[in-house]
Amino acid sequence: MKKLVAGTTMVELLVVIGLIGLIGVAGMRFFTSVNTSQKAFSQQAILQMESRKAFDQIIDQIREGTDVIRPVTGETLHYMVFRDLINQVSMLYLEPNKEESNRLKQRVYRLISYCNDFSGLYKKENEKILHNSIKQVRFSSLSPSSVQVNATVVSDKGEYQFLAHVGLLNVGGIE
Amino acid sequence: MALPFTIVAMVVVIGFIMTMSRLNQGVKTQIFHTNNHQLSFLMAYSALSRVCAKMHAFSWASRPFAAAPYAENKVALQGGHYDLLVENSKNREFQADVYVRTHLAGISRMYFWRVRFNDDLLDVSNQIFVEAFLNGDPKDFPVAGKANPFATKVEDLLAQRSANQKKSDLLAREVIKLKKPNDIIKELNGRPIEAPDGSLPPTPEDLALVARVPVPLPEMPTLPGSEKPSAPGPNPALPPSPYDSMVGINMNSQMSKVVKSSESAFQNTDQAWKQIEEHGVGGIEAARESWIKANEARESAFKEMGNLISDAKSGISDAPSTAAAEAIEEMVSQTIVAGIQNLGKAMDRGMDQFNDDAGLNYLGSLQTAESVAKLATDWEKAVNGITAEIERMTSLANQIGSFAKAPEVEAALTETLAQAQANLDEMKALVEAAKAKLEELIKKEEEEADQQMQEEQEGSGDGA
Repeated sequence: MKKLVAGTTMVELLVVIGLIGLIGVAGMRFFTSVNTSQKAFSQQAILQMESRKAFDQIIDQIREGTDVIRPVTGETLHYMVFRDLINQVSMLYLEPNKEESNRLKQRVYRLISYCNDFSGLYKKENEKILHNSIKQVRFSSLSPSSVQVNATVVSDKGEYQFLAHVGLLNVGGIE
Repeated sequence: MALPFTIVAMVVVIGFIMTMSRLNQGVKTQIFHTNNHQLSFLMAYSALSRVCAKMHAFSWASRPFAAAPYAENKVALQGGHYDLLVENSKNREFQADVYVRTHLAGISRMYFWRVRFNDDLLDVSNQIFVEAFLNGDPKDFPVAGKANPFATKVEDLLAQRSANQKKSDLLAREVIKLKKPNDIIKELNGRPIEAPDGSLPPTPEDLALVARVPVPLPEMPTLPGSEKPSAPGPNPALPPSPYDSMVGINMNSQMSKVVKSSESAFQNTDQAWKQIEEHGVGGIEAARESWIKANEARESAFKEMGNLISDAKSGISDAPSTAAAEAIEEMVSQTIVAGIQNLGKAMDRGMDQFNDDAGLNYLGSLQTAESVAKLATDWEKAVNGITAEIERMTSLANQIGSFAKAPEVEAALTETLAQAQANLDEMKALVEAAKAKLEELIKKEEEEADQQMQEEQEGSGDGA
């Protein structure tokens, strides 16, 4: 009597190949989707990173200040005037950035810091561009030595809103 | 049957985990680096808080760093560590310097605080004040018992702060009254803010914020007469000196006036010459008004510069430190040089008329002794004017001769005075040329007159 050997039938093979194909296609689609969302997430993270670097500078500058001149306590303005470590009067303000506005098709501003050194003259080196693409900024003074900064940074990667409460650490003669 | 299926499934799962892990790691690294700055500051602030707590816990006399600097190394915190050094501030009672160097994720940062301890048993909640806070270079972290250049830098900055105090107070008082950003930036001598491009509309939210006017500041009513102190105060016979406490304030205002008036002298001179260049002789009448304004502005600039130097000398003698005195000297010399430069530019603008031998060519075109004499007189007046102006400029330069100056300021002053002298030499050469031509024309006209007389005599003789 001839012994039957167990083997794989053509139908079984086709079913396995079909299943592997289906799983492969589903897997590829899943990978593509994950990759796309990761890229978007990564771009958002880069925007955040760039914005936070700029705001770290702003915070460092304000932190070395002695007192807030404008806005006064309880007031919110789109600019800020304060005194720095050596009692020079500095101003943070927005100036329209026409090139960036045209590129991004919306009105954006440069955030500029200018410091008066009592020479009675305008000096280019006292003017610093802290960020090139700001949609809006607000400074709310919570006390004579602290301020809340709220700004929206915009780029072609999206928008990023920043909120920080900064204390001026050079209390100096204020008691 | 199950084996190939299992292998494929495992490959898919491993690939998925690896891809996700790699992508997440990249994002995590980016976010971690952005957090590093804030975390480092918080670590340093924690260290400062510990120091302050210790100062509160002991009396000032028993502070941990009373006899020698107190140091801690590699204190672990928040996944990184910090080094701390606290020492008494040199030559300052009840003050301490706190240095914290943080190390987090391979990045080192240094923070410095100078704190003042207010030894007041009645107000224990308000005993420590930050006199100065600075971000420093981690390399400047001091070693106990060795020279500390960072402390010297802090002393210099505090001297500058002290020297700037009164000027800063006055400026703050002016700025706080202003409501528009452009007015404020103008008061700070900054560049005017550019107008927005009208093609892209602002958001309604922006408009609302820009339209928001700063709140008016409350004004303190003057005290009624009955509440004024009746005591005359110490030594009422002596009037208060206008300089003893207001030097910085006067100087700040005077420096602005010097710059404004000297700039006005140049701008009006330029305007006058433009009128003449565009309309020829017809523009003289229109230019006259600008000339008058330019002369007034020039006189005002010289007067303000003299006042500024004289006040600055009082301010320098009252300065709290050598560094503060040098800061005043540098500011004043810079302003005076800027004023002299503007007046020099105004003089140069007038001399532009003689470029490319235009003066000699014009002289050559004149054919009568009378017209040349008039030109020579005008040019001599110009020589006298330039000579007087150079003398006044040199006198100002001599007055600030001993003042500290930045090298570029020194160079600008030398260059301006040299240019003014060159203008004077050029003008003198023109006067000499005009005089020579005048002599030549007088001689020629005399000869012609003699010849004409001779011919007339001969004619009358023939007629007789």
